[in-house]
Amino acid sequence: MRPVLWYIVMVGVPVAAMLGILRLGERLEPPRAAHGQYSIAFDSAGSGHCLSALVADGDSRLNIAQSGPKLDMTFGPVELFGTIDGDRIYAAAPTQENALLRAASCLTVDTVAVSAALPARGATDTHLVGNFLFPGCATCPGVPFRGTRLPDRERGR
Amino acid sequence: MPSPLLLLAQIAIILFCARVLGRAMRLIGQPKVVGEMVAGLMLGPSLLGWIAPSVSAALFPVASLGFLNALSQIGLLFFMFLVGLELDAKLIRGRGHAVLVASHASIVAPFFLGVCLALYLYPRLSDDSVTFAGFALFIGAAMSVTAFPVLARILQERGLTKTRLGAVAIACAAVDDVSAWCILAAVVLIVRSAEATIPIPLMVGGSLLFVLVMLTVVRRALSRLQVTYERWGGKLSQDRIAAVVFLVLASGWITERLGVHAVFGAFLAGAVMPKGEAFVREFRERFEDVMVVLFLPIFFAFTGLRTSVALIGGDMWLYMVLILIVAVAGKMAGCALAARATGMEWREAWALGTLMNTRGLMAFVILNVGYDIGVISPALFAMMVLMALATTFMTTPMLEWVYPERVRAAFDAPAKPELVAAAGGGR
Repeated sequence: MRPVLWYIVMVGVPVAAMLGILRLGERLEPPRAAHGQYSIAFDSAGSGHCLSALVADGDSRLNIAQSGPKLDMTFGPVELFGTIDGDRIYAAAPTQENALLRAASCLTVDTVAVSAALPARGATDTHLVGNFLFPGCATCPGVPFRGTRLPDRERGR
Repeated sequence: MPSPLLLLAQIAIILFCARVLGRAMRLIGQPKVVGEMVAGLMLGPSLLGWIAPSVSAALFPVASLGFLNALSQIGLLFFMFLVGLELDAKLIRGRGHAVLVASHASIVAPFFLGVCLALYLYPRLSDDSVTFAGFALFIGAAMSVTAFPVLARILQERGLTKTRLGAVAIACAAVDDVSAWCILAAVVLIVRSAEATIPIPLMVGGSLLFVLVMLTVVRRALSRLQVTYERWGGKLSQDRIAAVVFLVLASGWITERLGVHAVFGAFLAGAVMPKGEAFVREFRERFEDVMVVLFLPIFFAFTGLRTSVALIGGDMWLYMVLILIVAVAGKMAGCALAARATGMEWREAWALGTLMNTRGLMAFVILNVGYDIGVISPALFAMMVLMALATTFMTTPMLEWVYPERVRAAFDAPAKPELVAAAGGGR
């Protein structure tokens, strides 16, 4: 009898409690999902020179890895770190990584950043719309882009 | 397509690092597998990619990782086959209620605490493409697993296999093993059912039917393999080995198609193999060397290449510490309390909890499955990998502290010989 009692206390009760917790957790609201690979199309009228370093190798894919609200983006040679807040994304590259940008596009650029928005929650659309920004570079006011999410090769992020 | 030369260089470097670090770990009293796990991490962005990014990019370019992944997946299938092969119902049968309560408590306690922790971590480390249930169940599963092969190796190296503690630990780990893989299969089914390419009833019904066929028809057919093996004076022909390799691959393919994951098919193929001692040893010897020397280090390296400790920044270290505390407390205390409640002395109960806390590469398997199906984010993956490594690393010194040699003599009593024999081998 004693082992049965212990089994109920040490196994049965936690399993029952776990079912309650799983139900409770359904009410939590995690950040929006932005991770994946996006094909980027630029509206670069007048600011093509700002992008020359970014798309030098012809690769216009933006990769976003996500852990909760924190984002790790790679676009060409640039790695950007940022966050997602509601539907808005903002990410910037650490200054020291932008020697390439300075040489190729703007002598005074401090950094490169991405500001973008996801479609409204529940929308079937998987686009990302925003701007590439070059703070500190007067000749590069920001380049609008539209990213289309590519299908996953595998479900991993 | 990456150059074959690059692949050869990658494999050579992986093997070299795994052997060197495996030996280094042996010098400090750790199982070799800990060194191999560390070697994998070192080759990834956490160390090589951090101190020499250009070398890392040249040696492991992203485009070449598909080949390493394929090799590591094949290795993983055969490793899971060996885990199933080593699983012997004798280990569990007749061990009484104590083992059942202790082993199930050692699964449920960390699982429960993991699910509780998921309430805190879900908004911080996940996103709305993952359901809370999927996230929480995966955290629970990764925390509740015990590395049966690592545990067997530690018992062997510490001379504990012939003791009561050793026999109970092996029996508990065997129950844990079966339970953990069943739980994981269910969790993967739940997660994948949300985006299933085949209807859910077919996934569940097909999986149950597959298990039934394996346990009846295939098991009976395989029993003839052992009969012929014995009739031919203990020799396995290459045709028969090829047939078993085919079975492993086919089982993996079927479970993957059913949406469960290929590792379960491979595990089940091993579990339904005949369990004659000489027969199992023969198979183990044929497969183990190539597995241990070649495929597992590649699997560890591939896991390491996915693990970026740099992602754990700022307040994420707090999450990391919480994960570690919950994993250790749940597994160690849950198992120890249950063992004490069912009649073990405190010292022995804590020693059992310490042994069950070793997660080793079993946690790596679960984490990689979770990462592949998109439930675990990159930062959480890195944290859980470190947790698995830390809990494996701490087992030997903690066991020495909780259950030192001078205390052992007072508790040591000979265990049933068949339990001891079945505990041998493994990593």
